Amino acid sequence: MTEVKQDFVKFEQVDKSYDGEFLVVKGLDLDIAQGEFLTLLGPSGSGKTTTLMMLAGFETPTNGEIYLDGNPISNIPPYKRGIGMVFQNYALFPHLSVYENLAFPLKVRKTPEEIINEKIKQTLAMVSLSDFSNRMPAQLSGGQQQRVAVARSLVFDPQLVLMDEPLGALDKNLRESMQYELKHIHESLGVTVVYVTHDQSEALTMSNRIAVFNDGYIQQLSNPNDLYETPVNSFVAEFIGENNTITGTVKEISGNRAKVEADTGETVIANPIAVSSVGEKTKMSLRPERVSINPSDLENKFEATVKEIIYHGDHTRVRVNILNDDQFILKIPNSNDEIKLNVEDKVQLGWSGHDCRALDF
Amino acid sequence: MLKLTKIISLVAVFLVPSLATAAEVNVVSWGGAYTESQKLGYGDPYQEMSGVQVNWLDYQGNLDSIKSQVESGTITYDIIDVFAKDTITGCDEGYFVEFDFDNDFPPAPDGTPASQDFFAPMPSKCAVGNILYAWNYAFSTEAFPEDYVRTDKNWLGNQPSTIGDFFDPDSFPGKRSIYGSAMSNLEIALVADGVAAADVYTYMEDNGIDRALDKLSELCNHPDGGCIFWSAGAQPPEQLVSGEVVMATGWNGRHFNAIVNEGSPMEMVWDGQILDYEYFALVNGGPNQEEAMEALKYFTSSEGLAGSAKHIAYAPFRISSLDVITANEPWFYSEAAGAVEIMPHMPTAPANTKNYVLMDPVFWADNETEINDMWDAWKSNL
Amino acid sequence: MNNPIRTSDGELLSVKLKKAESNKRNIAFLLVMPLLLFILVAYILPISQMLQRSVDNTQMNSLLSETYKVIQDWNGEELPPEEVTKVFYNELKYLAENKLHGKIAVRLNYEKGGFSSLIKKTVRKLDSFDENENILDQFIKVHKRWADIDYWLALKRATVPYHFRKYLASFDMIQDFDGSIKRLEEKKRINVTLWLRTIFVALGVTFCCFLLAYPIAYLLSVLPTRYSNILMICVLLPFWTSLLVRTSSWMVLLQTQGVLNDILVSLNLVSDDNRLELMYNMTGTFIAMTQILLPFMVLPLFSVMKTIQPSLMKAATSMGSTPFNAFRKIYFPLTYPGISAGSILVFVLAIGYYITPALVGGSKGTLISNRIAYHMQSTLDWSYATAMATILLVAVLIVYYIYNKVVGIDNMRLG
Repeated sequence: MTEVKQDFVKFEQVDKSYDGEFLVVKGLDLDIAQGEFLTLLGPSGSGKTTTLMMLAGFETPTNGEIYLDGNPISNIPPYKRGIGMVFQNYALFPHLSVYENLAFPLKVRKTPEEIINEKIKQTLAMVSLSDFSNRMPAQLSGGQQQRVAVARSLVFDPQLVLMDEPLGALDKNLRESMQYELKHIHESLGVTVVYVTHDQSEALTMSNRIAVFNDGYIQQLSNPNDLYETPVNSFVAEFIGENNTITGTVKEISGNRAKVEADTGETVIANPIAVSSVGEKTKMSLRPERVSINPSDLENKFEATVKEIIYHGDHTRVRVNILNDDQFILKIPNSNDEIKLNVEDKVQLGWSGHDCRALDF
Repeated sequence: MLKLTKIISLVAVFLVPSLATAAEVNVVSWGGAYTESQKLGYGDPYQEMSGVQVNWLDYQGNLDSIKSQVESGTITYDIIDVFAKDTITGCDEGYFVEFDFDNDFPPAPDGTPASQDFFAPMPSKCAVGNILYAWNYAFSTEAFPEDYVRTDKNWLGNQPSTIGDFFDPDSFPGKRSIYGSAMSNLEIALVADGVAAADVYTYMEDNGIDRALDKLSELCNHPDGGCIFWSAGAQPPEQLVSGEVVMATGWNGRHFNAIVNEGSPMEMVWDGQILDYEYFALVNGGPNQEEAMEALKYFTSSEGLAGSAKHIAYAPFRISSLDVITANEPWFYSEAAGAVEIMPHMPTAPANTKNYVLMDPVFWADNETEINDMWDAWKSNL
Repeated sequence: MNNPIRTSDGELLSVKLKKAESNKRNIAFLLVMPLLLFILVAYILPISQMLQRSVDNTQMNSLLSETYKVIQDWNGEELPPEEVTKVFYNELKYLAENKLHGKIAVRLNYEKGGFSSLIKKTVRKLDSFDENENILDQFIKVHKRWADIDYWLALKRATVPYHFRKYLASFDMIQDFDGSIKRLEEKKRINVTLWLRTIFVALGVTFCCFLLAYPIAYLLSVLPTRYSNILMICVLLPFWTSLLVRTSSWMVLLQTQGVLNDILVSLNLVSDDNRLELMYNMTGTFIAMTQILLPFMVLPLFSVMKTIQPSLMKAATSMGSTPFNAFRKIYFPLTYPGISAGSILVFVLAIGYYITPALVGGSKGTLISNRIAYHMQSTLDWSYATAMATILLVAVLIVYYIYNKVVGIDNMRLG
């Protein structure tokens, strides 16, 4: 690999409509770099799966073009695209053994028998299923089936692998360990992965970059850290991680400081991300862990009443009433110098204006 | 205890109606227009006269239903309308009651004893005659109109008129429809091949069957001929009307119905036909044997048998019934055709009985199995 | 063995378990009891009766028990000796007095045509027999058929208590008097032809059903429910139509003057005097039976196809397989259970069909079941009918056995 192609996969002004009345994907522009692990994240119906299916070739773009390694692929049938794919329900061939499942893409390519054997051996070893090659899919557990499906999508050395909610059917523990496993496979093979999920923690854990889909558009495309810390609009802020929202009207903007009058009348200092003029309505987004109790010198300080305390092991969640909003959450790490709180206690809460992001309404 | 009385009264509610109408007779016949003629002709009048309810049930012919009823011990039939050969088998098997003919059945109005008043002697002791009907053929007047030019000769007005014409596809090209079993087909084939009508059965006993089958093969394999086979009585007129065939054998009553009531473009030919009989038998051990015997007496009286001829062109078995009809012509009546003189259409009318074969039920009871094996083998090799 | 495990009250664990389970077993048995009884009454009893009837001749044997004893020793080469005819005469006389001769007349007639009237004619003359004269001569005087050795041989055959003659007859064979088995004379051979034709028709109809049902079932399995329901109704329509309505609609459609031929003629695909023969031949049989039996193929196929995930085909194509190859290697093998279930259903049903082929099949419309029905209904020779029915049953069982060996019965899915 000499040079990493930044636009290994390129979506150019892609629209997709099923019924001629409603666009599922709207004017999609997206570049995916070679070797990248890109996740399409969004609620159901947001267009993420449709985007994946267009890339796989099972759906045709209504408008625009998709390029793979520089070549337009809209008119190439799926079986000529050479893209590996993992399906949500694994899609293992139930009448073929694990070995035969893995041999399928190789036989189609008329690979010699000994190479097939070798490849399957390697790939099964990679997903730690070396002893299972003679089993039938029905004799495997869900996690094992998933690994076979992954192995099958990789066995013919595709440059691009698509995964459509591959871990959706697994239980929580298995899902988490599979996330790491997939991440490691990706890192060791250097293959480009486009991954679809509606589970944000899965996306944050595994991806190089995440494209958040909603309503047919990419709302934000960035790495997991930026996505969490600096959401560009209220949808992303609310969709990724936990979030407190304060609504208000912009009164004054100067540089990266804005004065916002909350609906309850108090003035909140915020970071103007998606507001530009005085008088605009805004939703201010504040992460629960950015709120401090009894702060010393923060721009925003308000009194709150404790409503509920929930112990979470590594941290404690506290629900309070502040600015007339009793769904306001804060997270307190459980350290030695913990603060004793009781329900109905009055406390002072504060946060910095920088952390309080004024977004679109 | 209260519960028990409730149940009993509930059961009683269901039982009472069936007890109240104890006097009834179950008559089994062939269904369709024929059963209708029996019901209107003598069933309903008898019911009115005697108060005994007459139930008409349909069956497909054959004695298998009686056999199973006898074997299982639950007989539901009282009177059954059967072929001659089946009266013989049924009598042999003991399914039917043997009659003391002249004592059991009333004489003619002029005092002639019953046994003399019927056209022919009964084929078995368990049979009482009902109707006479004919297996004759009809042709389509669309295929062969009055000015039809025979393909081999050049004169006009030569419609099919003999049994030989049925077997002559050179003159009258087109498909024929014949009965699906051997009965009737072998007889007409032999007559058409020149065997005298009276000698048909003796001839068949002496290996005449091959000759009959050869004659039929000639017709069925002829490029201008060809055969299809009918199994239900309603089929021949339908096939003629639809144009599927140009000639079809069948029962004269069905042809008559198609021509007179439905105005179908077809005509019957009375030559070389088979005159056959239909009989009533009294089921041995039937649920209402005594009432059934009484009903049967009325059904087969001069008046009774004449009654059914009001509604269908089958001849009553009693000679005295014909006198009743002749005295009251036009006797036949239908909505479509109005009043019609029925005597000329009877299979027993003099004009229709110039050359006919009289069905021999004993021959068929004796040889049916073997002949039908040969018939099926023949049919398979067509 | 180690020390047996005991429960806390000291009983053997295995004994205790059996006790605990026996209650469950009893309840389970009670639950299946109605079904068992039903199968016994509606299936096993009639079939065993059928088997028995096909070989049982004890009624005839008991009516002519004395004759049976003496006629067995007769060699069958010339007319029977006086001691045989005398015994037969006495027994016939006894039967006539008790009005039982009709029964033997019917049965003897199955063996040899003409026996029925022969017995009755003889019975009428029995009173005039002189028992001091030669009985055989007097028999012959009544009717010349008594001089035909075939009738006496038929009598010998017809009086044995058990026999397999009907099975032989089902294959157009007959046991000769010396015990050797030979074929019937050619013009009477019919059953073998019909067996072969029946199997040919059943296989052919199964294949036609498969060809037609596969795409229909596929369409049904992928269409949205509201469309597939309508299509399903169309598939099931033949079930809801009476035989006569169906048959007459075929006639309207298929006969030489029918709708289909009219259309072909008007499209100039067929010339008017060269219309297609779609009815009253094998074509008619195939068309009609395929239509009736189609649902039996569609339903199992549909139920199997419904369970095949659409993603399997996508997975196959994503791995580089052409759609046709994906169908051949993945989809088609997955429908095997449906194909085999449908085929066995259609085949078994087709092998027993007879009314439809008789109506639309013309001279080739007779199948083996027609013969069974014929002997059942018309000649009342039930032992012949049951012998053929038993052979049919065995044939179906053989098909089932082969199927089980080749495909495995567990792979069958009826829906």
